[in-house]
Amino acid sequence: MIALKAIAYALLLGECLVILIPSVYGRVAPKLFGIPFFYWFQLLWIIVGMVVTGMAYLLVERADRGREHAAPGTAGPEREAGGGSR
Amino acid sequence: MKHDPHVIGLELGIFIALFLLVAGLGFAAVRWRRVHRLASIDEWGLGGRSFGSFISWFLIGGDLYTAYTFIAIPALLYGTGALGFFAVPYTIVVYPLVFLIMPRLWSVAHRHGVATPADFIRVRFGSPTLALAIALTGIVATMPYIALQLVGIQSVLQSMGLAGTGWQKDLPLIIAFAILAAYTYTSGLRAPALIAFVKDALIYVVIIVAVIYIPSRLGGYGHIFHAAEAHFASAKAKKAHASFLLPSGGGLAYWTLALGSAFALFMYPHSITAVLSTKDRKVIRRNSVLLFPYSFLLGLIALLGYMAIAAHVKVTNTNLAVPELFQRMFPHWFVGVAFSAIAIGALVPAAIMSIAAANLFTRNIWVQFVDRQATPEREAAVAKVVSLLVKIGAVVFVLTLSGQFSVNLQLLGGVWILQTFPTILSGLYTRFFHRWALLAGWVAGMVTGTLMADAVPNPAKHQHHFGGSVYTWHYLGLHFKAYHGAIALAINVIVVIVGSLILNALRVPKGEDVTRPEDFEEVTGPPLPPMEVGEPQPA
Repeated sequence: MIALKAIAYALLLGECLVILIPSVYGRVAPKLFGIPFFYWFQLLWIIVGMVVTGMAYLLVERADRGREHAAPGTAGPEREAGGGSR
Repeated sequence: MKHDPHVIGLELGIFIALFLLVAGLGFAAVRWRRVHRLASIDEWGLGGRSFGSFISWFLIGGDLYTAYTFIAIPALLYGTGALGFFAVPYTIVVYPLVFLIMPRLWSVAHRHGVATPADFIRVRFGSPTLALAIALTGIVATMPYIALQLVGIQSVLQSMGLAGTGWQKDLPLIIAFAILAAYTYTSGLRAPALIAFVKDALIYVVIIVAVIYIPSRLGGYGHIFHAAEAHFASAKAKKAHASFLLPSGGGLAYWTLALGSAFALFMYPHSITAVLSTKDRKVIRRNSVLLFPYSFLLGLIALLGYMAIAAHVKVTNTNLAVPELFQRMFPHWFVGVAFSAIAIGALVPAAIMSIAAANLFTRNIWVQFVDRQATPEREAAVAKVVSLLVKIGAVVFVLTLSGQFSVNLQLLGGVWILQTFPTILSGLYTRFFHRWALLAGWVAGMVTGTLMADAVPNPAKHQHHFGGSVYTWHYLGLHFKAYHGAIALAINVIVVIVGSLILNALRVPKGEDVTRPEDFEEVTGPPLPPMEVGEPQPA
C-alpha cells in the first residue's frame, strides 16, 4: 500500500518539477496555431497536471481502502512522517 | 446619482438585475442546508462543515479565482509580458500541494474543533504567542485582499461610466458592499457558497465566449501573438522591462514567483476556511483534481492581456485593459453580463475573506485573550460583528487611500502570508521544529520580505518602492533576481532550522501538543469533546 502512495507522490513531484524549470519551455518554436511554445506548452501542462493528479487520486484512494480493510476500526499502523520527533 | 451620458442603459440594467438576483440568493442562503441554529463559528463561519464535492467545487473555485485575478493577471501580461504568465505554473503546482497537505489539516481540524490556521498552531504547538503571530499575519494579509476586490468592482463601474463627482462617485461601490455585508452577516459562509454557483457559471460563460469571440474578431490567436511580439519589441517596452519571452536570468524569478505564490495561496485564511467547510477529506482530494479546468480558464484569461494589445487598447492604468477590451469587442448587453461576472466574482471572495478574518479575530484574539469563557453563541455574535467591521475597514481603505496603495499592500500581504508556511506545513508533519525557532523565522521572514519589497523600484511607473515582485539580490557574493517573498521564505527556513537545532539541544520546553499522529490521517471519527482540546498553555 505504501508503494501505491509512493508512485502517486512521485508522479505529482515530476509533474511539478517540469513546470518549475522554465528553461524546458522558454522558447518560441515549435509554434502551434501561431502560438509560441512558451505559451501553449504551459497551457497543455495544465491538462497534464489534471491527468496526473487524477491518477494520484485513484492511487491514494486505493491505498486508503486497503488500509481500512487491513485494520478495520483502527487508524492503521504507523505511517509516513506522522508524529515526527517529540 | 449623477448620470453620465456614457452610461449605457442596457448594460447597466443587466448589471443591476444580476446584482439584485445575487443579493436575493445571499439572504435566502440563511435557510439553505440548515440543520442547527446558525449561532456558532462552525455553522456561521464554516457552513456547518457540511459541503460535499459539488458545492465545494463552486465554493473553492469562486473563492480562489477572484475578480482581481481576472483584472490583474491579464493586466500583468499587458504590462510586462511573459513574466505575467507565471500564474499558469502557479495554478499547476498549487493543486498537487493541496492534494498532499490539506487532507491532513482537514483531519486534525475535524478532530480538534479547529476553525482557523491559528487554532491548529495552538493545539499543535501549545503556544498562544505563535498562534497570535499566525492569526495577525492572516488578518493583515487578508485586509488588503478584500480591498482589492473593491478595486476590481471599481474598475468595472468606472468602465461603465459610473464616475460622478465627489461622494456620489463612490456611492455605487458603497451600496454594493453594504448589501454584501448585510447578507454575510445573516447567512455566514452559506451566502458565498450559494452565490458561487451564479458567479462561476457567469465567469465560465463570459470567458469561454471571450476566448472564442474576441480572437475571431482580431484575426485569430496567431495574429494576437504576432501583435504582442511586435509590441514588446519596441524600445518603450524594453525600457519597462517587458518582454515577449522570459529574459535571460528571468527563469529564477519566474519559478520562484510561481512556487512562492502556490505556497502562499493555501495559507490564506479564506482558502483554509473553504477547505475546512468540506464534509470529508475525500472532497478536498477530489476537488484538487476537478479544479484544474478553472486553472485552464485562468491561463486563457491571462491571454486577454495580449488580446488587449492586439486590439490597440491603450490605457495607463493596466487594470482597465480588460474592461476596455470588453467594451470594444462585445455588444452592450454582453458587456453588462461580463461586468456583472467580474463584480459578482468580487463578492464571493470578499465575503469568504471577511468571514475568515472574523473567525481568526474571534477565535485567536478575542476568545484567547479577552473573553475566555465565550460560549459558541457569543463567538458567533462577535464574529458576525467583526465581519462587518472588516468590510467597513476595506471600503474606507479603498476610498481614502489610492488604489495603488491597496495593490502595494496586497503584494506585501502575499509576502507576509508566505512566512506562515514553515509553521503550518511543518506542524502538519512533525514537531521537530521548535516553536520559538518558528517564531524567530517568521520575524526574520516578515522583516526581510518587507524590506526587499520596499526596495523594488518600478522605472516605468516612476515608483521607487513596491515596484514589483522581483528583487535583485546582491549580497553574500550572490547575484540573482527572484521573488522577494521566496527569498524571505528561504531566510525564514534557515532561521527555523538553525534555531530548532540550538533550542532542541538546550532542551528548551517545546510546548504541549494535544494532537496524536493518527489525528492527521483519520478519514472519519467524532470530534473530541471540548475538554480534551486542551487548555491554552502559558507560553
